[in-house]
Amino acid sequence: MNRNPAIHWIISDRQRLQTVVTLLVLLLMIAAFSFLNPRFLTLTNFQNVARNTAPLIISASAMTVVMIARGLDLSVGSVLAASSVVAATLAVQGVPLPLAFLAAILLGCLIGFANGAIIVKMRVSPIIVTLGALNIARGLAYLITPSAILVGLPRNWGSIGTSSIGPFPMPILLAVLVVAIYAFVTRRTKFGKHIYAVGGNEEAARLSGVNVERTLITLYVLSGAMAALAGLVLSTRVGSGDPNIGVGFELEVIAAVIIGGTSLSGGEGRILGTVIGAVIVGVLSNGLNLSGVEPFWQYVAQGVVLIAAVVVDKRVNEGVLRMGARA
Amino acid sequence: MTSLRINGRMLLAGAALALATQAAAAAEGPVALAAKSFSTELCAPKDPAAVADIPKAVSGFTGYEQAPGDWLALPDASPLKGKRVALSVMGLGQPFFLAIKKQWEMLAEKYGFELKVYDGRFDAGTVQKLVDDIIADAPDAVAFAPLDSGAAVPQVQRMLDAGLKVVTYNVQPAQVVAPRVFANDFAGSQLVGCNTARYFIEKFGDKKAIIGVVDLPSLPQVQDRKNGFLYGFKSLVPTATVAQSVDGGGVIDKANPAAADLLQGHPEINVIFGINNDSSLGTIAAMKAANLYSPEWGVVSSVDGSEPVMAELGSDESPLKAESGYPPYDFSVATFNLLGATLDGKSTKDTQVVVGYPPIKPTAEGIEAWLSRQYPR
Repeated sequence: MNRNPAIHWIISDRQRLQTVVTLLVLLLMIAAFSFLNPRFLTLTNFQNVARNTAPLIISASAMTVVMIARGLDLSVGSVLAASSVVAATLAVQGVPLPLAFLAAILLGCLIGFANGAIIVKMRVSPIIVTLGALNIARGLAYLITPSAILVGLPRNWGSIGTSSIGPFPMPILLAVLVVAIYAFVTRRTKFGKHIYAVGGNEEAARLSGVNVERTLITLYVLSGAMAALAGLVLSTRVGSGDPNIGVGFELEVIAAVIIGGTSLSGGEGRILGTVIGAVIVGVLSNGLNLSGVEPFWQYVAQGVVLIAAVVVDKRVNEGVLRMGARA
Repeated sequence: MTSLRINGRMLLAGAALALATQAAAAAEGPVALAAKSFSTELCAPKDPAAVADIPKAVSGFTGYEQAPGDWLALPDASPLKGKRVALSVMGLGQPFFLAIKKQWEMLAEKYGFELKVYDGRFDAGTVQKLVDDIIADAPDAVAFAPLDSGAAVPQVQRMLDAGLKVVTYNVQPAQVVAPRVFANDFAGSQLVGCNTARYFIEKFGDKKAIIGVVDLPSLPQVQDRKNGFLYGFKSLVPTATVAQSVDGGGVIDKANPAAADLLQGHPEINVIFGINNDSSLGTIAAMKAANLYSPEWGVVSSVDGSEPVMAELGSDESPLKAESGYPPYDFSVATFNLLGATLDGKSTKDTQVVVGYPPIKPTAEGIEAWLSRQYPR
């Protein structure tokens, strides 16, 4: 019998346990990198990591619920690029920034809606549909920018990516806001319960009155919108409207979601776990750079650490569950 | 005693001179200072030992004189007239290749040939497929941009075996298989290194230079760029040291966090070389985020010469103060002329044109001259 209430609280919920284990992996990494470079464990560096991880957290939050509902969105990297290019193009033409940003978000919603509608109405695999959307959105990004990089952006272009409210950089605040909304929706609302129900068993959800189609389409629309928001954060930070940004971003997003404990087969996952997964991805890259690891070894180290993080997570999870069962 | 007094006087005079130099530098402003220290000449090493260990030939395409000569002159008429020409580019997502495409479209219109453009999308598989497509289409002449030196040898050989006339440009096959147009990546960025050092000395005097590089280590040509820069810089500032090279991936969204990590890990860095414009622009964005964006911080430099970097080069607020161009117009015209000569049987597989990396003078006139020739609107 386990008498420690803290441990009992952790192991009583499989998802909570997984989140705690992922957090332990992150803390282990932070301890290791702090040991390797004293400049790692500083407020400036945490701001640096948080700022760089913000777009990943924003998009991964949306991807988490898509994957909980047994979907997948491979188009996020290209939607990110297309949206940022639309906003930049409009800004260069003198459209006020709020309107330009709104247009970018709407484009993300539109692509997300198209993804969702085709997946749901035509019963096509999400991998195929969003892979097609990946190419379409990237092509649009290149078509919109006739010279690859837009020049003549207004001086206030960096209003999202480089500004701060008090000591908190805007990208971080936006990421926190997005996470809070997604966490609230998934944990405290009827819609959140519908998402888990659809991912757990779509047919059962439908029979119990859940509007599966509307739920899935909404999730893809939100995924597109969040990819667009991530694009705005990224492109306003780097001060450019560049159609080349976000190549491979979808893989980082999926890695963050899976490291965070969301099941590939749907029905399970937590926003907080995804946030920790995204921070693991960001800390790993930052820590390896700060430790002076040679770039080619960084690829190897990133692969090893990412696999190890998931394996350790799984093993500890199973071990603690066995312990819980014995108790 | 007398000697001590003289030494003391000399010391005072030296200090006064240094102060006067710094005051003059402050009065002149960074752009004026960079224009003053700018040169089109390479610099000789002050201390050969300081640069002895820097590799000079990683890609195998260094050591050639940058002398395109008449290959850059536009002819009255071209052997390509009325022919079908295939142009492959590494990736249309980059300003350089978009400019190449645009230049070729203008040439096609002016000299009356049919142009078909193939986009390699910076992907080895796509380049392989486009080679098959070109062979199937059987054009009269091919201007081919390899992506990978090793893979390019059989790719070009297959096109030659199919009876096509081929000229390669930019990255080159690992073996000589066809006439070629390329740049000396080492010598080109060596000049940027020299100009960066000239500016650094003018602006900061004897201050210790500590270098960071936003790199792309997987490409041999880029390693020549990096080594050329280091050779040039250390030729004039032999005491300079390299703190770290980070992998910025050659794209702005990856270069930005890599540069942020570089600045965080080595706050002592005061010189950063970006291997291309995305790398230097990512660095500039990272400096802004870290509140380091100031010409007083140090100096940033790079190669490419695309339009967004020109805004930084010509700004007194920016630390980016040295740039050499990678010239799309020169590449296009030299390749066009060489392809014409190949079609006429006036070249051999050993014929080569080495275009230069023109250094860009950081004045309004210098920037305008570069952009209007290489990136016409």
